[in-house]
Amino acid sequence: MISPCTRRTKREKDPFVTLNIPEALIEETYLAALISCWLCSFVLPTEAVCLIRLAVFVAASKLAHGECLNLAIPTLASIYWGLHTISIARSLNKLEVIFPIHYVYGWLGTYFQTYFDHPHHRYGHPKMVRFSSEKMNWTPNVQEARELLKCKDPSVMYPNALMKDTSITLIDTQNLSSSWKAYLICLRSGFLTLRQGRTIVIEPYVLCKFGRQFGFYQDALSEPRMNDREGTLLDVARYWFNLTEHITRSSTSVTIPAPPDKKSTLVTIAYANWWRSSRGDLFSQGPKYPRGETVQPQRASKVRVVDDESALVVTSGKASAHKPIM
Amino acid sequence: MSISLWDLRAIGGLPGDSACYEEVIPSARELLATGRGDNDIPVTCSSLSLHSTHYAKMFMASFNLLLPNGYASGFEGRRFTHLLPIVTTESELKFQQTHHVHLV
Repeated sequence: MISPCTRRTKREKDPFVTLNIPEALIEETYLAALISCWLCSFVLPTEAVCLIRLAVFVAASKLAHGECLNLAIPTLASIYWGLHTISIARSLNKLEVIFPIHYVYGWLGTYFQTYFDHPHHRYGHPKMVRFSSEKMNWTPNVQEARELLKCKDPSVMYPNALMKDTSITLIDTQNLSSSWKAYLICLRSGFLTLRQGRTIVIEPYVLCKFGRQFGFYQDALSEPRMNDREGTLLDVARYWFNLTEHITRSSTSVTIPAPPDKKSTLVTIAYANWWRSSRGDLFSQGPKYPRGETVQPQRASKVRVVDDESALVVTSGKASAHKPIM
Repeated sequence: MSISLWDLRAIGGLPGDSACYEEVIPSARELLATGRGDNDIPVTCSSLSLHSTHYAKMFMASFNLLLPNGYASGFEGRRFTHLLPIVTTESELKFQQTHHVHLV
């Protein structure tokens, strides 16, 4: 934590005297300078990690003045871009991709407990403080990583979800609180955008990738425009508006589900079929798959499938009628 | 599983519901025109904030036209659809013609 500065030295005040800037703006100016560093080195780092980009000054000034800016969308766009760039790399050699990966570490620590808690973390501090400091991470071996990814206890998927004991219905109007509005934006498919000067980043944001973390069914990814990562500045403006503004003016009723039964695995039939055809028993087998060996798709041994009200439970390949799990 | 906007808000405290963030250096013309009531849309149109404002006005004016396109309403119980909201091409064209958009 940075304690507030109680007094400025003559050297710190001189530039303001020279430029004839009112004394009341001194603290705001220094705060804007600090926020500029924070934006460039922590929130949205680029290739020039050690440099302050001139283009952040407008945004930093707005933030220092008290205006709230949506930092989640550009930051997540940068993260998705970085991970996508790594995923399509043609070799396993070192790759220079700069993006705020510390948020990914924080996400891993939140969902998979891969970090030890920082000794000085207190309730009320930002969650990322829990996962700070060196040598605080726990690196699982292959077998342990497979166990983690199985998520045997579905409740590990909801550490950040806003859920009540019973499902609640929201009407997305302008009267929603800031938190619920942000929650609805999060639950909306669209495109994430980041504009840094002439550089434009557009990344698809598809709810079925993380819907289960908010109590919805896991559905198969069947988005025809998921590879649409190119666009003009006008596209960026349109995507931004569609994701953040449009939904909050349509008065749509949205049901936020209650926490699912711990024993239920909420996936749709389409997803289960996709998983069987493309992954088989990958995670239920032993840890050893020699490099280059093809994993043959196999029938899932035990998958609980839920699909709308006429839900079916598929166990060991046999389908039977079952009451819906809500 | 994946990282969502809400995760970034919960983990890193990054706001996810406010004005748009962009990194752009205002032009000298734009800075000089500030506060003069200049009606000409400056190259400011490079500013996404302005774009969003125009889109908002355009949307409110043509709400009935846009609604049948199937916005939202994708949530039923635990189900959701993957419909992407897309502003109609006619509206975009009208917007560009009306406001003489210049992009830099």
